[in-house]
Amino acid sequence: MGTHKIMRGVLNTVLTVLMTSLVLGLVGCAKRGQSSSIGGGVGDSMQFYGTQVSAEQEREWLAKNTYFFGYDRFDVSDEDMMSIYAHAKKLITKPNTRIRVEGHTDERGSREYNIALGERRAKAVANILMLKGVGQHQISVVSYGKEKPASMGHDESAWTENRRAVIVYEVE
Amino acid sequence: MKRHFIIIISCLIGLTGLVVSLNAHARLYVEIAGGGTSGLPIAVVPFGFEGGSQEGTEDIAQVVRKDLQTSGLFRPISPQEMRQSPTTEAGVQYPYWQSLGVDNMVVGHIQKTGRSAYTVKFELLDVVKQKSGIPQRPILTVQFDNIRGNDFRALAHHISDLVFEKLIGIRGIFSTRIAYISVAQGSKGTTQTIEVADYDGFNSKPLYRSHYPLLSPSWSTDGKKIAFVSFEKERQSINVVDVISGRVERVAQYPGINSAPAWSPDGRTLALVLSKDGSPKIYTLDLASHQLTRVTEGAGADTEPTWSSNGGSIVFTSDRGGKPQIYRVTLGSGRIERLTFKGNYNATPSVTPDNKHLVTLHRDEGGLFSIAAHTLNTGSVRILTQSSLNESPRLAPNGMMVIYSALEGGRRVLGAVTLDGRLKIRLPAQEGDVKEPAWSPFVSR
Repeated sequence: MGTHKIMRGVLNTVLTVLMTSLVLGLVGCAKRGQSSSIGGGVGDSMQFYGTQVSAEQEREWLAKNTYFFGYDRFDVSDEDMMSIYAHAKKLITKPNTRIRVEGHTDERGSREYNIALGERRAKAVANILMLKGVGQHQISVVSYGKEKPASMGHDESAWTENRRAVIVYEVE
Repeated sequence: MKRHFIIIISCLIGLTGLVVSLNAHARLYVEIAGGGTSGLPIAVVPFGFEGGSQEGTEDIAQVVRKDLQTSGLFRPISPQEMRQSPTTEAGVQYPYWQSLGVDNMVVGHIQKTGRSAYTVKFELLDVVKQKSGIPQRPILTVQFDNIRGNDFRALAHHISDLVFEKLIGIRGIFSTRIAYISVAQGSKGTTQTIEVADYDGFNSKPLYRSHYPLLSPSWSTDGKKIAFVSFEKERQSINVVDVISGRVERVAQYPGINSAPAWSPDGRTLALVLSKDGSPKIYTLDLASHQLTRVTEGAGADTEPTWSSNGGSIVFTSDRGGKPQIYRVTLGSGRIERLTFKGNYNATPSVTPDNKHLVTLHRDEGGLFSIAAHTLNTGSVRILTQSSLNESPRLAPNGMMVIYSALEGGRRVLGAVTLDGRLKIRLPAQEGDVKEPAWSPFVSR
């Protein structure tokens, strides 16, 4: 059961990496014959997101900064991926920008073990940003575990709101 | 055979030097929540008083009764049941006390010897063995000279320690203290405060306050410092606060996790958790040389290090096998063994001084987070609490009691339970939440 979940986590990370490399690969294909550099410019939105994206859509993705996770899980959901890409694009475009990625958990279990779980969530988001080309120096990761709940309740709905990673802009 | 002791009480209550106002919100009070009906019957007779008014001084016998009851090993009879009140052995009519069914009794008296100086003397007696008419040699006779009136409570705890150790053969914890973190919601947001109090919640004093979360207080072996985790400026760090002066020193702030400090028994090294090299792993930090040594390797999260009593190994939580379980690493050889096999979640380990029992935050198939005691050589598990959101169990320095945090009516409160599970105590705050209790080591005599 436990191993199963870990495996799922690992599988998800692998999938994320594969997906990201696939996207980067597509970008590479599209650029073949031209000079290209990963982590430099972001290209057009087709190249960056793998799909045509309107400015309005991009603003919507950027407005989102909180990503939720399942119990004991640290895999980013597919629907959150584009929002994280949008933040990546912004960070690459503005290299002086600094962010903090916070990891949080629900209130169940050991405070210190939850610090470890929260960091996995924050790192999952940070890794996606870095795979898209954001410089490591632009990101700091902090896990609050269960110490900063978004919802103060003690039930399933509060727990769902509290299992999250948050992108916070420190220097814009 | 009278032994004369002059006890320097000031070391027991060194915190009185700290000039901070008592903040009512963080004060705890003890109440017996369950059990306590078994135990050795004992009569602690109200102490006599000579030379002026007793007003304003602590009722020593009352404090001793509460202490002994709190241990779960004694059943003190109420003073209302006592029709006689001898203050020395010579005044004791044994048949009467035998008829009350007590095994032992404590008698004592206080004499005012100066403007604010007292002599306090007590005797511990065996009621059962007493044959009528034969004067008894007390099990214990102790006299304390030059005691100040406002030290009576500390003195009473010391008397409890002496009685407990004489009758049980194990050192008492009544002069120890606890540290915990109080959480208050104010107009400027949440404030968290490390508080230090007597083991029974009395004399609480704020020690360190932050607008960021505070976590994992850990006492130094000499009881003079507390290591803790904070998040100032949104970065996690490990800090050490001096319990007397309140001075704070930062000892670790690496990228990522800086958490779960634990003092080695010799007081020279902190075990801690860092994730600067990837997954959270156990490290040791030599406090004099600042040398950092990595202790655990591999995949998975390792956290919550706690030292064995001889300092030769570290017990910790790890999810290297999937779910969090408790492991032990032998320092030097690096050999790792798994200690817990029952339950799908074991965390926050703490080991008794005799290394026979392990206390953990434990989740069984039913999903409840309870406090459990594991017997290490048999692997058997005893559940000590039965509510759903317990956390942070920590053993008393004599290994006989566990303090922990529980959720009660939507508030975090502290509770304590004896290792045999027979007696439960609640230590709720008057307001706000309290979390992360940590029992001090024994105070030097």
